[in-house]
Amino acid sequence: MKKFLIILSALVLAFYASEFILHNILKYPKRTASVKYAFISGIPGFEVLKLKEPHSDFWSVEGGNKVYKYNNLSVTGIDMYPDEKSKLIYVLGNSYVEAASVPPESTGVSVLQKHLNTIDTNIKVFNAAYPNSDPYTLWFRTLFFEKWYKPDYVFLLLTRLDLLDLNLQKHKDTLDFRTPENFGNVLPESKSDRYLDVLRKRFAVFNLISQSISTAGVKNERINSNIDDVYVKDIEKSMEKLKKCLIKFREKFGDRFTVISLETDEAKSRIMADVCESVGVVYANKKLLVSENQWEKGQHLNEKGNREFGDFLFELFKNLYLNPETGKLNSQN
Amino acid sequence: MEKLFGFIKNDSLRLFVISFILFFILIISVCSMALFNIVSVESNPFFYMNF
Repeated sequence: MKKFLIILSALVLAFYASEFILHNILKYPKRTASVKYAFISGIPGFEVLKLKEPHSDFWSVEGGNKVYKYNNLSVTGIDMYPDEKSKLIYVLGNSYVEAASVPPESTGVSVLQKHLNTIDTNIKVFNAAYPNSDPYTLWFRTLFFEKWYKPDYVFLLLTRLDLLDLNLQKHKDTLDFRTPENFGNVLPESKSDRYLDVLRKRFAVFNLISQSISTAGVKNERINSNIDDVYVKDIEKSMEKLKKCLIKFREKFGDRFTVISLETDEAKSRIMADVCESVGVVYANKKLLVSENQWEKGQHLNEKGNREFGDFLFELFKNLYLNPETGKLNSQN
Repeated sequence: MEKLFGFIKNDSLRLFVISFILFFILIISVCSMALFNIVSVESNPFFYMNF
């Protein structure tokens, strides 16, 4: 019994020593509360939409294992407080728009917001992006968030053609745009989550191990680690799906909807441009996916890339919606 | 291990120190592997996911 107590106390002390190193020295965050909402049934990774507590910490790898905070609306970027006077811009996209690898004030969306503040502080930008999203899942993301923050202008980032094609292949040929039955309803916390959260919210060690197990699950599902290893071209079908999505956005937002891409290959950019043109949607391309704008080849945009992305969005918004003489929003908008 | 920590004359203290070091190495190794796993996944836009 005495030996058991000695070993147990050594275990407890070793655990607290590890926790101190992980949380206080490496700054790995503890888990914060989150709310889960029913999202799109039948699409892996998108069945649930999870929103963390405002200003929650998160661990960012690419920028050098740093801890950043979500804003007051639980998305990346600087705080944003829309009110009834606000004109709201949604920037939709994947992890390139989300920009979790740069400080909140350096994301492309934050850079756009800073530019807009010099013109009109009522124009607010909402980062509605989510990793691995495509125009179909982003349509539902728009529907989800618009009940709280109604968009006046929408920018949709297609990033690059290969990634778009790959993501659209996840969906059936006939896209169903009907709102799922439980869409947006708060999902009750499972018992296991509730019990595990007791540990994960108190100790960074448990949070880290739990997140790693989730990651391992994803890795096992797709063994290859490179887009080129799994990518099988199916552009024709994907462009048909893209067209259907763009028509939905166009019907809802009219001229206030714009598509952008960062594609560096002119021929591939042309394919996306043609689809946009066929449905009367404005398309703009900025070849930002070059090594100097990325953390490493094939990775996300670094701070320079995000700054240029924000500048590009601002120039585009200015050209499309601001009166060149007054510098204010066009009256018809 | 017992020999290595032979300079600790008190048996209970020796057991405590050895257990502490073993548990510490074990927990830190598990955390390192977990961190490595997350790092290798999170830097790849193809696998990128939100926790």
